[in-house]
Amino acid sequence: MKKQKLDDSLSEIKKAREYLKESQKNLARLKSGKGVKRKFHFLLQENKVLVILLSLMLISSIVLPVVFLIPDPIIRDPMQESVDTTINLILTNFTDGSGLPILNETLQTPSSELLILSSLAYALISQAGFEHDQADFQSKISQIINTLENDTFVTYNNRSEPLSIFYQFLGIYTLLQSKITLPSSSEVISSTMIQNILVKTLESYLSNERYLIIQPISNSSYLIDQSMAIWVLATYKLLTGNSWVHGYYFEDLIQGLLNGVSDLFFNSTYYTLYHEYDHSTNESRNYALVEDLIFFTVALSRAERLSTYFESSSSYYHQQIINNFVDAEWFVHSINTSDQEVYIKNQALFTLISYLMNFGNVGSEVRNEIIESFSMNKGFIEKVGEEDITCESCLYGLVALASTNWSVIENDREYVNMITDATLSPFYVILTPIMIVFIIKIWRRKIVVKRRW
Amino acid sequence: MKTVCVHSYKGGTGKTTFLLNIAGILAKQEKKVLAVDYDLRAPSFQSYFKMTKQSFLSHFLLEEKTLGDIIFPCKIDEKANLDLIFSSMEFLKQHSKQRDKLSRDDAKYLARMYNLQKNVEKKYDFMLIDTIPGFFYRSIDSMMISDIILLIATPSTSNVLGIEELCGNIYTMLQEETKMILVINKIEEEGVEADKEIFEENLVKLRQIGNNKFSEVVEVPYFNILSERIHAFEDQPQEEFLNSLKDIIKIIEKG
Ligand SMILES: Nc1ncnc2c1ncn2[C@@H]1O[C@H](COP(=O)(O)OP(=O)(O)O)[C@@H](O)[C@H]1O
Ligand SMILES: [Mg+2]
Repeated sequence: MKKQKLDDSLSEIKKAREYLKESQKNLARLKSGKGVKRKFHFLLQENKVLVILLSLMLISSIVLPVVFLIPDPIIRDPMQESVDTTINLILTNFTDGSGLPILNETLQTPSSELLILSSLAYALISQAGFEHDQADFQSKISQIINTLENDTFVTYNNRSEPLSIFYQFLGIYTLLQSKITLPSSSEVISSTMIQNILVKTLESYLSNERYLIIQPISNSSYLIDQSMAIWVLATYKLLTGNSWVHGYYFEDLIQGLLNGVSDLFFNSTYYTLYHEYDHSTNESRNYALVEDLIFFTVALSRAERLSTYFESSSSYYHQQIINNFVDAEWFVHSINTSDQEVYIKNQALFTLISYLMNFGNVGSEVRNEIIESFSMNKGFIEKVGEEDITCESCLYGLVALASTNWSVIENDREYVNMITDATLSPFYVILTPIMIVFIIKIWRRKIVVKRRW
Repeated sequence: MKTVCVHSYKGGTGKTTFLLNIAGILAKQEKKVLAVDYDLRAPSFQSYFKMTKQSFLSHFLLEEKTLGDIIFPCKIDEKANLDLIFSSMEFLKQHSKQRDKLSRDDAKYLARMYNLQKNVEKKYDFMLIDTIPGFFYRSIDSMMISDIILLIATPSTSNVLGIEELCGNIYTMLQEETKMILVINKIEEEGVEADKEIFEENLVKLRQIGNNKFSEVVEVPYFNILSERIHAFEDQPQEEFLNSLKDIIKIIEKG
């Protein structure tokens, strides 16, 4: 107590001495006809104009970026007709009595994979501004949620059998996109639900020893699974702005997975990637297929929006795909350009990622090939040169049609989150209350200065 | 115009008594005097005069009123005239915002006091400023603009220690520009300090400090006087008391 008093009086004396020194200078200024030098906060107190300016700056610094980054309204696309036809085709030919998607007329059982894929396709076309049946979309979302068992996506008929890792992640991605698409009033999907599924998936498949997604039974790891994980994690972070999920720090996780890819799937001599890594023999097997590369490229492109590092850039791999898998007519082949397998799936995915990576010129070329095939057959065929139309091919067709507009929106959205949440949010979170308190204090002319008598 | 302020380490040392009585003597001598109550913590001019006006020094400091609004003449007789600037405890209590502002380390108030001084310097022979005792920003302002500082101290232990503190920290910094006078006011405090021995001991110490650190030392004995009166204006003043104040006035006029 005594000590406290002594400290107080010492600090008072110190303040007094400092004030006296300043006053001596100030008196000299006064004597030479100048004004005194006052402290900044006292000046502010008396200049409400400054306060108003500061407040305006603060408000505009928050409002303006948001205003500018609101995407332009989407003009109705002439491709609406193709979308309508395709949706009708799916409804009449590939839907069972309860409205669930089925593979084809002979195989009448609905599948969880198709459900996920169709919800994703619906979410994307909806975001891209195409008209469609909102209720149908909502019921599909509810159905997806029904295929969850303990936060894991399971097969439709056997609820104890989880879907592949690829579909676990695609399911999460679909839920993320669907949540954005649904009106905010709709509470079908909650943020916690998505978070729980993400955590569960990571806990089930993320290796304990290293950041790597591993197939539990086969003891193998696949590039496509790593890619899906990276894509989903990066998107989750970019869209939600969250840095952490249940003790996982996103950027560490993503960087860890990228390191895993570079250790086990990357040939540093040729800068090529492998399809699979066998943990029992410690060897990388088979060169990556076009699908592997497409997913890895898009994953890397999202990771690049965060502060992560990889041996080479996503645009490098995008170019590799064009060099090695895309022929002169913009068809995407499965193994190499001489290979005859040209699936609409790869065509659609490559369209999607090209747009998303801002290679719109590539995206439009690849998509145009699909539309040509479509117009000939009145539906999206599965494989170029054949006639089969399946539920899956139609869904991928829809994805390709949605790509152009959707990717713009998605990029803007990620960009907004990147500046407001990822990098600026700590800044705003800290600055805003300080500024508000500051302004209020000044406004009420009550800066916390202890009254000294 | 000479600007004089009275300061002390503690309250109740006789600042106001000396200041207003010196002002009274000077006024009687037909000097033009302005007395300013800048003891914002315990303003007390009002108890010496019947004041109903509601304009105070704080109004001028906060730029709410002009100098003309806050100076009140107090006519004693045909020739003697004393001008006063008041402060009010009541007013500051009711306007805590103003009080808060006035207590800050804002150089604005030094500028206001300087402005006041410049504006009155042609009209008066003396400006006498009563101050807040201790290390306060506003007392420093008063001391800054003064030519002479009267430091009033009683021989109480706390005052002796306080004076040492003030000498070490504030007065030495002002010494070059300002004449410092130690006024030892030999009033006793009640209680412990009533002890004669301690009183004498402290008195010796004060004299030592005075001789070492101050340009002049004056001792004022204890008088049986009525408090809160300007004795020079009384019909039958306590001459001895006035004489001892006149010693101080001589030093002021000389300096
Ligand atoms: N020399 C003195 N002899 C007798 N009484 C005194 C003397 N000096 C001051 N006093 C009395 O001491 C009291 C306090 O004085 P005051 O001038 O109000 O002190 P301050 O302004 O420093 O607080 C008053 O009642 C005053 O009359
Ligand atoms: Mg007093």
